[in-house]
Amino acid sequence: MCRGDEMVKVIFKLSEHGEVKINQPHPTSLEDLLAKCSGVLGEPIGSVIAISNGKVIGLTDLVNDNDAIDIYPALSGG
Amino acid sequence: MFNTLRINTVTGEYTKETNDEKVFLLGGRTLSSYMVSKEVAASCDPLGRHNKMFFCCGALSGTMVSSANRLSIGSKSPLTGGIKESNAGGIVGHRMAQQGLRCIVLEDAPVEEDANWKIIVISKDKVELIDGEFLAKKGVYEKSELLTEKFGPKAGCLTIGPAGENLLLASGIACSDPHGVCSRYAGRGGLGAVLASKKIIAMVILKDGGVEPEFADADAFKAGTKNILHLLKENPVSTSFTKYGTAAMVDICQALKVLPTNNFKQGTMEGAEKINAQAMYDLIKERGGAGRTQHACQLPCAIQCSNVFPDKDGNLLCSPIEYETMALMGSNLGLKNLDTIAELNRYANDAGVDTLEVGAAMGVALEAGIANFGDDQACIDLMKEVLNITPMGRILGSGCKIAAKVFGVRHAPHILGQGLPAYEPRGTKGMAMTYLSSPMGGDHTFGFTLRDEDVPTSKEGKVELSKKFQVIGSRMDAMGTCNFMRYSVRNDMSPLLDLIKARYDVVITTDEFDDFVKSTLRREHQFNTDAGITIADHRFSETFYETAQPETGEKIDITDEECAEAMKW
Repeated sequence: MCRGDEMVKVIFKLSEHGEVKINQPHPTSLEDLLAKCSGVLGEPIGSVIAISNGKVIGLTDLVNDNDAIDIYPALSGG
Repeated sequence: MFNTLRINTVTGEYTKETNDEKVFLLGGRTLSSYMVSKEVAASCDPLGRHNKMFFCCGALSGTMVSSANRLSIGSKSPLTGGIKESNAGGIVGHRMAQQGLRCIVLEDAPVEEDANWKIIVISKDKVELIDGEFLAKKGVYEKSELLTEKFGPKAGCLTIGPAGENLLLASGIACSDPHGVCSRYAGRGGLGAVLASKKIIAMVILKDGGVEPEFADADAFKAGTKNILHLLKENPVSTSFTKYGTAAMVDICQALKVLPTNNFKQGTMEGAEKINAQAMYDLIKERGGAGRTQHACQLPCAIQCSNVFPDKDGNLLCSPIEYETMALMGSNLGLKNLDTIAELNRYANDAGVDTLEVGAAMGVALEAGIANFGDDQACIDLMKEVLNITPMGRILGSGCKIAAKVFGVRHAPHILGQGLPAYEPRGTKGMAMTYLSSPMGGDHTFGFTLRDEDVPTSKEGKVELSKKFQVIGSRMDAMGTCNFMRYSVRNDMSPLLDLIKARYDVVITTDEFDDFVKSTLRREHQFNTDAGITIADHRFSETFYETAQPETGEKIDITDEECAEAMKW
């Protein structure tokens, strides 16, 4: 069972994927979280920049329940 | 064998030379920086007769490989006083390849100040210097139409605007796009002024070359070409470019607090969503007409990150609008209106200036109180002054450093006199390290670290990170391919090197290729040292070290020693 307060909200910016909610009762790495998102979406996530509370988070950083993560495609300027 | 066409811009005499060294095979920045280092006295006046210009296409130019027709232009920069390589999309590189040329060298300059403007016309049979006075004092758009009228829409043309004609240091060189419009800029470093100093107002390469690429192994080349296409289509980063182009960076930089705002005083702008990629995408779709959310700056190109921005009636207003312009001529001026940014971009293109350099110069002008940040009409009026070459326009068209001196602004965002690109350096120490250590002055493509910085506000590990991406970024320039192809080959260059093997039957290993990249960097730094540039020039304005960025509380804390380490190859 997934309670509302154990969800991590992953928001894919500039993407048709939009918002994905992942059941996440325990802290887990961003890498694992993205792997779960990939499973839900049915395609690889690719290179991204992840930002939570105005800070960049890395693949090994822990994500807690109730966190909201903004995911941007890792682009660069021209 | 690779051909170099050497043209004397005073006498019109020309010669052809052939070389078979690998540096000529690779072309692009590898060749342009090699030639500048070898043939230009570092101490020369960049606008004098001893400076030269080198136009180089790349190893895969003229083939069907996607995104491989960049034109690399090398010279001594009048803006930085150091070496310059500025590259552009468009069709000029392709036309060079069809004429069997790897490099065009322009030498000499008239001593007489009243010498007439000339156009260089290159065809399969001859090279001519013809009268170019009919183009003088006209904007780039009108010049482009006149060139098309005279030479046809398929000719590969490059030209300069009024800013270049007047030797302004922010002037660039506009190259024809696949539709025959001179809109693809080698914008940085003042190369428009260098061309003008030789009294060359345009160079035209006709489409009568007829040289078809030869392949050592045609089947392998075909398979390799398909592989590149596959890699580009499969790569999520490249495919993201296809929908939103570089404009996607507005949101990313706003989120990372590095969106240059109000003359690089802040890293976020309230209302940034009004000028972000989604807003632009929606507006282009809504207006329709000539508008395009995808557009190829060169052919062939599977990435198509460019766009065509239409006015309210659906007519072409500007193409392309890139992220860097949206920031330097948008948030950096406190502007939140895409139509205003597009209009500024159009005037800049018509004047023939680098949008980054003039955007940075306008930022310091607004800080000096010439107008208010966020005043759309005042900014448009200032940009018109650049186009009309008024005294104010001359100051802004001379770039950020000079504008800051004239207006008495200490917070001048530049390195080596070249305006900073669109990433507030106090909030991203990796990009700060790249800006500081680039031989070209403030440059982002040189080593784009932002997406790979775990803690952007910390300088820890940033020497190594910047150096890593200096190599990755420079690889694409090194052989004349688009910078955005790097995402598909950043961990393995062999798909591109296999194509070189299939085309020329020459093996270049990944290590050997990176050695070329590193030796180019060494060569560029050495040129600058010989030109009198020291480590003390590789610094931000002191205010970046003294005043914290409001959003991050960060100052620049990178030392000369760390910068020197990032420049060591």
